[in-house]
Amino acid sequence: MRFTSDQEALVQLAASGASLLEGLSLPEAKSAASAVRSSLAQLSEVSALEGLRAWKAALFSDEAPLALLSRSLKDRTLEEKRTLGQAVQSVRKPLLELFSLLEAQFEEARLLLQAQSEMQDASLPALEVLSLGGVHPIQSLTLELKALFGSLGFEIADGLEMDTPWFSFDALNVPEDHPARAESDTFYLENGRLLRPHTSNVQIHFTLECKPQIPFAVASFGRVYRRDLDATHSPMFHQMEALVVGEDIHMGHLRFTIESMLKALFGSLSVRFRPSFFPFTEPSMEADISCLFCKGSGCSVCKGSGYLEVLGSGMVHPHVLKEMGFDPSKVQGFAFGAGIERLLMLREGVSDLRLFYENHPHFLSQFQSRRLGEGS
Amino acid sequence: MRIRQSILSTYVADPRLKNGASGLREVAEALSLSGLEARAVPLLSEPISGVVVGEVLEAKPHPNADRLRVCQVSDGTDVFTVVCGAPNARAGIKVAFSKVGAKLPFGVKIRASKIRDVSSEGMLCSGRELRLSEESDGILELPSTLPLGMDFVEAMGLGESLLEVEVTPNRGDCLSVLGVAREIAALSGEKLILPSTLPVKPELPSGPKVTLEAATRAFGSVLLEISSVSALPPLMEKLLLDNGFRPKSPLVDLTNALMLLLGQPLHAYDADLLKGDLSVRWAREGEKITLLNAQEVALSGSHLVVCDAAGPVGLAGIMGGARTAVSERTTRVLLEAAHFEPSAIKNRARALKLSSEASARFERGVDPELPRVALEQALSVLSGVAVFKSGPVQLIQGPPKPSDEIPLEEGHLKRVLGRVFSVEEVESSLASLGFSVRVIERSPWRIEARAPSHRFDVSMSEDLIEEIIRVRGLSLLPPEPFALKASFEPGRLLRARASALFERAVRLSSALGYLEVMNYSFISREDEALFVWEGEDAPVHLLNPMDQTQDRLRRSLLPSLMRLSGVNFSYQEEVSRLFELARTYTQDADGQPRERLRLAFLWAEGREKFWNAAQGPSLSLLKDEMASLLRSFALEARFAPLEPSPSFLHPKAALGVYLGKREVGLLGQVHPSLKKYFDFPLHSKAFVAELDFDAVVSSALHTQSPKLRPVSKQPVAKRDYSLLVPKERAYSEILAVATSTLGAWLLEVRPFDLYEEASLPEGMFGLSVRLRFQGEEITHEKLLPFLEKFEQQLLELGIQKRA
Repeated sequence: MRFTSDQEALVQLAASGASLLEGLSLPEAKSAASAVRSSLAQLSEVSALEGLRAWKAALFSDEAPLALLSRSLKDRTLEEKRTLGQAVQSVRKPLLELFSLLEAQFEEARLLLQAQSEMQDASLPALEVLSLGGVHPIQSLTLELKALFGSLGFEIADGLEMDTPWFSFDALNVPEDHPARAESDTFYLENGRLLRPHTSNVQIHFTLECKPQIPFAVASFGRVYRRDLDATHSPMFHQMEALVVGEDIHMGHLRFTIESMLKALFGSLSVRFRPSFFPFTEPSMEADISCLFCKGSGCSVCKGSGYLEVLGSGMVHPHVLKEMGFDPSKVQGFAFGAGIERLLMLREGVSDLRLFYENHPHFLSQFQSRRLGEGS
Repeated sequence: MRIRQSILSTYVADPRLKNGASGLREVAEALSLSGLEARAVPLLSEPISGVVVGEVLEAKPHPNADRLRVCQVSDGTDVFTVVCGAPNARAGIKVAFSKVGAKLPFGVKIRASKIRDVSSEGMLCSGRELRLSEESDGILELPSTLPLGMDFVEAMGLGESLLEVEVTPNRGDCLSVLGVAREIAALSGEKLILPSTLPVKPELPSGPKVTLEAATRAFGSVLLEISSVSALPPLMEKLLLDNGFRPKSPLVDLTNALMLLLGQPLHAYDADLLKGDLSVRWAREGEKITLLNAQEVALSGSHLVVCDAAGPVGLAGIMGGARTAVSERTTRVLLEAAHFEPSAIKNRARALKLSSEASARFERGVDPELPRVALEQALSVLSGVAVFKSGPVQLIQGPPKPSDEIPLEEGHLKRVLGRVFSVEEVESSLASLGFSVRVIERSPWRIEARAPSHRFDVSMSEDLIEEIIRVRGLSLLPPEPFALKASFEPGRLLRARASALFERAVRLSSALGYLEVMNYSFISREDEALFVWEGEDAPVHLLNPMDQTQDRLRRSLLPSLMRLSGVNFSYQEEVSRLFELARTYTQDADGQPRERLRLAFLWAEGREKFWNAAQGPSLSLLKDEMASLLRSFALEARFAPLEPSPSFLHPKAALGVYLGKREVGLLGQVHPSLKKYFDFPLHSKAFVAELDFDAVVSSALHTQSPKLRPVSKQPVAKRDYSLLVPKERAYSEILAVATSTLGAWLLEVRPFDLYEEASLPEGMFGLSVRLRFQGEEITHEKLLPFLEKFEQQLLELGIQKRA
């Protein structure tokens, strides 16, 4: 073992203490000095805590020359006591100090060694269940959209799923004989209600029940129901709805809001609008995005058009504004709605909507490692 | 609607229509962007080569096969022997003949072959083999006028593309070649070419007298006596073929073709079977009619009918009756072209499960000017292809449609679009669509417009604005952000906080290691009945479920989670950790519906072990997870055994979840008897929890949080107890004793050992707890009386200190 400079200094100090003892020409002192010298020589051989403790025990034991020398002090003169006592101290002190330095050093080395041997394999899964958690992709996208719309100043509102025909159809200007009202399209309930076929009923509930001050913006998300089932239709699915009403809310605002949302969701792409027809808006338009699969050059997904239809929109129909309690000659607004599953299927390249409701763990868990929207 | 490019180009002089597939694509895009969804598709979905027009000269039975025929087929130059299995293969017909070497769709290549010892030098094709139709019941029979040997694709004009148009419910006028052509003309500024009409001199008298009693704006009719008809003009034949109409009789084909061309449905009656005069009226209760498709319909006052003296002869605008149908014996025909009000036709066909091209047009609205045009056009076409006599066109007018002048002001247009158009731009846009426009003021402008007779969807200023912007282009809308003056009024604040709590629940449940699932709101009676909370309202039933077994809405999320977990086990998944946050549905005795959000968890495990056995499902861990979830809503939950326990939970492992005195949920081990029902493995274990999330949110929003306390620097003392506990006692009881007897000093109770040993008395287990106290100058003497009381009360529960 090599001593550090501090330890070496203490060894020297103890050695010179031993010389002091030798110079006293006392047989007990001489044998103590030689014991000190030989144990100093042994010290370089000590390499572990046990050896060090044995070394100390031997040096300072009751039968050791150093102890014998100390014990002999009581029979001596005062003068001798002082000289001898100082000499003994000059040996003891550095030796004890040396011991505690070495002890700390060996202890540290031992702990390090122990820690190394005890090192756990952190690559083992500790709690299998923690790796199972995840948010459903429909929920993920919904939460992402809520955050996006919230940051644009939209309030998030909820509406009933078991609603009356008035809120779901009449107030939205859907005529009595509209096919969407037929029993082949909409689910009816025994209590005279129906399962809402769209989230647009929230427009009416929100304006009548929360009485917002204009201008206001509100978005709603939730389950809707239609009697349909195939690869792209499910009897239950999710929609989002946005409504902005004010004195001067116009179609330019509608265009800006929809373009912003689609770019936030899908990254840079081109958005186009086509006139369309919905009973609750006038004028009505549908928004398309450039096809995500062929980048607009035409493929089987976009049926060669280069565009994919994503949502319906328009200026709120004057009849609907009246039902909301507004004067259509003074107040106007826009609304749009989109299917959450449709947006999700386009963004993630899922071709069968039913997968979202089969809830296969191997399908759902894949969404935990997918990026959030490029825009968020 | 499917219209060939060549047909369209005879109706509108748009140069793009003469410019092949790329020209048609441009037209389709322009239509789409102005609101008529259209796309250009090639007629042939796959190329065909080597197929020519052939003629069957002779067809004899195959010597070795009953169903096959051996045909001699000419291509005008040579004669080939072809074996054919089609029932309609016969001498004299012209056919699509695939010669040896021909290439057909589906990668088929024609080779010379031997079929049951007879060599065959090619194939006679069906529509399906050429991908011209989905199904076919024999080989194609081609018009006899086609020259032999001519390339089939060229002869049939299959090299071109067609326009596929999807029409929104407001634009019934576009369900015709004329309507689509008019739209193209309006958008491109090119000329619309109306079909010419040849005058036909009447040689017969008028048909029966017609009275209009209801919902009819015009009723045109003409009497015909047809001696013979040859084939319809090729344009009409192609139009019928492309739109899926099967050839019936020349007269019926003519009415269908005119409907496709002009948009006016026509109906032909056998004039000799009509009795007396005609009238259009609402049907009377109890009246019946048998339709052309043999369906018998019991009529009601909501059905508009055409009647003769003997009763209904047709469901107006939907389908004619069988009694007066034309047949091979018919010599005199009454042809009808009428305008029935859309509201009198709407949804009737659908309600009767009929699909009718006529009603699809009438319910959207047919131009009331068309009946005369259509009848004159019918006579004109017949004069080219038939030997016939006709009477005069008789047109009875009902009350006219009130045609309103629709006003529009510059300010209104600007307010809606966010930009202005000049009065000239507005005028020309509307005029191109056939509107008549009157300018009242020029600056700022003010106009009045009148819609053309074929437009049923324009009635207010907003409609005019829509027409203007769609003609000028939606890309001219100015994209602008809008400004809000939002403030956090109390209602909004509450909704925002509730929405934040919803998200927090989703994120935390996921972080706890539960996978979120989304199940249908529908459920079966059997599943639903299994997991019902005590005192729950009634379930809500669907009147028209899609699946009769899923005929109600769920009151609990748990059965869906159990189903899913059973499926997971069948996928060999060993662990299910699922959660769902969704609404549940009930109704009270008055049928008043109620929707409540619930948050449900399921934790199930099969029998395979994981190296870290400590993590397996247990009631106490699920309870702790629920407690920490609720703690993150600043709610301190209490759990207590449910007495009696609900039937779906293990009676010894069922806890209620309480916030204060209010029960907000339950958790427990699923009753073992349910394992088989949900397809769980025999040795599996399942735990579930379900919370009334609305109650949790309302507590979280309305509970006052306790005041913060300063961090105490007072000394801490501890006492360890080794206890002998009877097995029926719960830890919560020991905790309750500690809290009530040790008072303000008690900092924590920490169970550090739980053991069962043979050395312990029967029915007892060992529990070691450490009590920690904190307080000013705690001394043993001060603590002693409290500790004695603690021990005393434990003893009353049969819990002893271990020696």
